[in-house]
Amino acid sequence: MKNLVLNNISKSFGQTNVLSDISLEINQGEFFSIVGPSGCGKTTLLRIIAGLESADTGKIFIGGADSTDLPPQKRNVGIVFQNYALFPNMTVFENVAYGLSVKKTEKNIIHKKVRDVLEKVQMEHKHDKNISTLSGGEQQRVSLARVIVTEPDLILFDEPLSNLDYSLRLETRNELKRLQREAGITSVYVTHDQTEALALSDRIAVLNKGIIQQTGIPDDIYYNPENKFVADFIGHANLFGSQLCSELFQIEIDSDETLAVLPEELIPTDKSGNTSCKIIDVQFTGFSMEYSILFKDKIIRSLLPSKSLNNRFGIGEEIGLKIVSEKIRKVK
Amino acid sequence: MKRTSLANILLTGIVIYFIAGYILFPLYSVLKESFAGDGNLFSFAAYKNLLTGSSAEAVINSVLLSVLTVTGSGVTGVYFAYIFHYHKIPFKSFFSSLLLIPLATPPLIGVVAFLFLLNENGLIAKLLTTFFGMNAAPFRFDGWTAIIIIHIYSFYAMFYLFASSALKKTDMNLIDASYSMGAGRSRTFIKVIFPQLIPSIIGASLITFMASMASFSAPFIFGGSIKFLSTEIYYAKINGDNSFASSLSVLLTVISVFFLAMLRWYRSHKILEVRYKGSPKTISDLHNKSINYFSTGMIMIFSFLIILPVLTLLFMSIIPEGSLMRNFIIEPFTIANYTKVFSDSQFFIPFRNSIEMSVIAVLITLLIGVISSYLIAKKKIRGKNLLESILSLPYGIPGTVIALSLILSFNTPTLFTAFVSIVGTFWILPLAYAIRNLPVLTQSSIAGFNAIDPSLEEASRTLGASEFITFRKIIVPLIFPSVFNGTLLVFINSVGEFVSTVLLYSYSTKTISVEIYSQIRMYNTGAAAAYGILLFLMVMIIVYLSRRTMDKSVGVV
Ligand SMILES: Nc1ncnc2c1ncn2[C@@H]1O[C@H](COP(=O)(O)OP(=O)(O)OP(=O)(O)O)[C@@H](O)[C@H]1O
Ligand SMILES: [Mg+2]
Repeated sequence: MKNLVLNNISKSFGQTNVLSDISLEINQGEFFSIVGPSGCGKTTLLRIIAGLESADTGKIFIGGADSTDLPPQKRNVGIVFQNYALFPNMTVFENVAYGLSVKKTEKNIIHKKVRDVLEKVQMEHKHDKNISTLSGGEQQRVSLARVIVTEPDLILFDEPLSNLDYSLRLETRNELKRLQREAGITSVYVTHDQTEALALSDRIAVLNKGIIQQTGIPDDIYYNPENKFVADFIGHANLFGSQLCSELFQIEIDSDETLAVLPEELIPTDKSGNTSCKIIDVQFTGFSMEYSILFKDKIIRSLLPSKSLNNRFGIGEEIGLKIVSEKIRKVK
Repeated sequence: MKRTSLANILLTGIVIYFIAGYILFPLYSVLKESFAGDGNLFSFAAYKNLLTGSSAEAVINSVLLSVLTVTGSGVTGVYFAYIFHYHKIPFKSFFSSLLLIPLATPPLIGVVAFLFLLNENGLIAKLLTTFFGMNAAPFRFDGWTAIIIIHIYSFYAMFYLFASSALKKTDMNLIDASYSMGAGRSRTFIKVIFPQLIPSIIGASLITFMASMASFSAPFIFGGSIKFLSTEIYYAKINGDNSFASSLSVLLTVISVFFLAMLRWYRSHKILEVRYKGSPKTISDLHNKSINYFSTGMIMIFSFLIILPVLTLLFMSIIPEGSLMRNFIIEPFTIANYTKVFSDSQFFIPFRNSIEMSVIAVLITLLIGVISSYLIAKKKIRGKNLLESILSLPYGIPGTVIALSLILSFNTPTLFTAFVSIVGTFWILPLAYAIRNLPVLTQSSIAGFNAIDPSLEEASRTLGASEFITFRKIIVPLIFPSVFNGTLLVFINSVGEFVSTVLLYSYSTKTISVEIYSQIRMYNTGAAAAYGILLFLMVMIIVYLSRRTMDKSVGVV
C-alpha cells in the first residue's frame, strides 16, 4: 500500500528552481531516504510534504487522500527537526504531551502514552527536566518521542543526527532504526551522508539540483548507479572515460559512456606492461587500506580490507591495476 | 504563504485603523492647522511669524541646548562607563544600579527634586544661610545652567548604557596588544578603545538630541524668559493661538523625526545592541588587581550627586510643611504629608487617575503593539517596513506636539472617538500616553518575536496545533518576558507623564504630575515631595520587578 505519493512536485524561490518535477511513491511502513549534497532541495521537499511550504505545481497524497492543500496540522505528518525544535517553555513531559493535548486527548491517556514512549527512548527518568538541561542526544530522543507519541501516518526526519558527534551518531542511528521498526511508521529520512542512508533505508532516492537521479534499494543504488553523479556520490566510484578504459584495462566502451569502478573493486598489482600507475598516498584505518593512485593526471582510489592484502605497496611505488568485479558497470 | 487568513486581515485592519485614526490623522490636523488663516483660508501667516521675532530665537536656543546636553551627557556617561569597565571598584553592582536611577525617574520628579535642592529657598541655600550666616545663597540656580545640569542628570545614563555595552564587546586582545607595544593609558583609550565606542556614542547622541529638543519639564520650570521650542508651543496653545502652536509643532516635529530617521538608518546599518541589565562585567580586573581609589572616589561622589535630589525629595516629604521657611532643625520628622495625600480625596484622586490612565494606556499599547509586531515579525505582511516606521514615529514626536495634535483632531466628534469630542475628558490622557509609548512596546515585542526559532512554530503545527493554538501555547509564553517588560516600561512612562498631560488635563482628570506641579505653584512643598517620593518608589519597584522577570526568563532575552 502506498502511504505517500508525490506527483510532479516543482518549486522555485524567485528565479531559482529548487525542485523540478519530483515524483515518488513511498510504501506503508517503509524507511525511505532522500540523499543529496547540501542545497539540493532536501529540506524544501520535506517542508512541502509537511505542508510548511506550498509546492508551485504537483500533488501530494498522504494515506491515499489528496493533501496538497491541507494545512500542516491536518496532515498527521510528524517532523524531527535538525535542531530538534523542542519547546523551551516546557518540560520533557510537556513537550512530548503537546501533540496529544492539542488534540484534546484525555489526561490519563496522555499520561500513559507519554510515559510509555519516554520509556522507549529511555528518557523516563528526565520527564520533569527543563529542555535546556538536556544534552544533544537526549534532546534528539525527546524530539523523536514527541513525534512518535502522536502516531503520525508519516515521520519526516531532516538530518536528525547531524548535530551529534560521531560515536553518538552511530548509536542513535541504530536506536532510531529500532524505534521506527517497532512503531512501524512510514519514514522519510533526509541526509547528505550516504552511509547513513545506506545503513538505515529500505529504499533511497538520490537528489541533485532538485532532480531525482535514481530511486532504489540501497544495494541497487550502490552497485547499479544509473549515472555518474550517483556512482560518485553514493559509492565514491572511480570514473573512467573510454580513453582511460582502454589504456588502463583494455576495455572498449562507447565514447559517451563512463566506466564506474568502486574503490573496493580495484586492486593494485605488481607492475606489468607499460601502463605506469604510481601510489601517491596510503591510508591505513585498521580494517581497511586506502591507496590513492595517480595515472596520468587522474587520481584513482582503491580501498581494500587490510587483512586480505598479501603484498602491500608503499608511496612512490609503481604498480598495475586490476578490476575484480563480476560485471562491467557502465554509466552515462 | 499564499493563505491570508481572515484573522490576519482583521488584525491588519485594527492596526491600520489605530495608526490612521490616532497617529496620522492627528498629525495631519496639526499640519492643516498650521496653514489655517482667518476664516477657512489657507495661509502662510503662522510660518511667516515663525521666521521673524522670538521663534527664531527659540529654535536656536533649543538646538544649542541639545548640543550642550549631548556633549555634557556624552562626556559624563562615557567617562563613568569607562572607569566602571576598566577599574576595580568595590560594590560595583550597587553603584551601577545607583547610576541608572535617572533613567527611570520621571522627568518632572527630577526637576522638582533639583528645585528643592538648589532653588534660592532650597535646601542648600537654607543650609548655607543657617550655618554659615550668609544672607542669601551665593549662587542662583536657574536658566541655562539649571536646565543643562538637569538634562545631564537625566540623559547621561543613555550614554553610560550604550558605552558600557560597547565596552563589553571590545576586544581585550587589541587592548593588550596596545599596552604591550608600549602605548600608555590615554593613548590606548584614544587609539584603540574610543574608535570601538563610536557607533554607540553616535546612537546615544541621536537619541539624546531628540529627547533634549522635545524636553519640556526643565525648560518649563527653570527657563524663565528663555524661549525654547517645546515651551513656546505650550504658551502659544495656552494663549489660544492654535495656528502658531501648530507651525511651531511642525517645525519641532520635522527636526525630531529627522533625527529619528537618522537613528533608524544608523541602527539598520550598524549593529547597536543594548541590554538594560545587570552591571558591566570587567575583564580588566586582570590588569588592575588593586582597587583604583581615584575612580572609586569619582564614582562615589557622582553616585551621591545622583541620589542627592532623591534624598532631598525624601527629606522635604518628611519635614513639616513650611518648616524650611522657619528653622527646620528643631522640628521633628512627620508623616503628615503622606497621610494627607492618602486621606484627603482631593489629593488621592490624582493618584487614582494616574494609575487608571496608565493601566488603560498599557492595555491599548499591548493590544496594538503586540498585534502589529506579530504582523511585522511573524506574518511578514506586505508593507511591514512602512508599518514599522509609522509605529516608531511617535518616538520622534515631542509630547507637547502629541497633546496638541489630539486637541486639534478630537475637539470635534470624529469617527475615531465614537462621535463624541474627547478633549477635556478622561479618555484623551490614556490615549496620549498610549500613542507616545506605542514604539516602546512595539520594539520590545518585535524583538521578542524575532528571538523565537521559527521551527518551534512549525513543530507545533505539524504536531496538530492550529495557528491559533500555536500562538497561544508556544508564542505567547515565549514572548511574554519581553512584552511584559515593554508593558512595565509603558506604565512607568505613563504614570509620571507631565509633558502632554499639562495640555490635556482638566480639573477632574488631574494626574500625579499635574498635582505635583500645582502644589509647587502653591508652595505646598511637602505634599509635592510626598507625591514625588510615592511616584519614585512605584517606578523603582516596577523596575526591580522587570529586572527580575528578565533574569528569570530562559531562552528569550
Ligand atoms: N525560503 C527560501 N527562499 C529562497 N531560497 C530558499 C528558501 N529556502 C531554501 N532556499 C534555497 O533553496 C535551495 C535548497 O534549499 P534546501 O534547504 O532545501 O537544501 P538542503 O538540500 O536541505 O540543503 P542542506 O543539506 O544544506 O540542508 C538552496 O539553494 C536554498 O538557498
Ligand atoms: Mg536542509
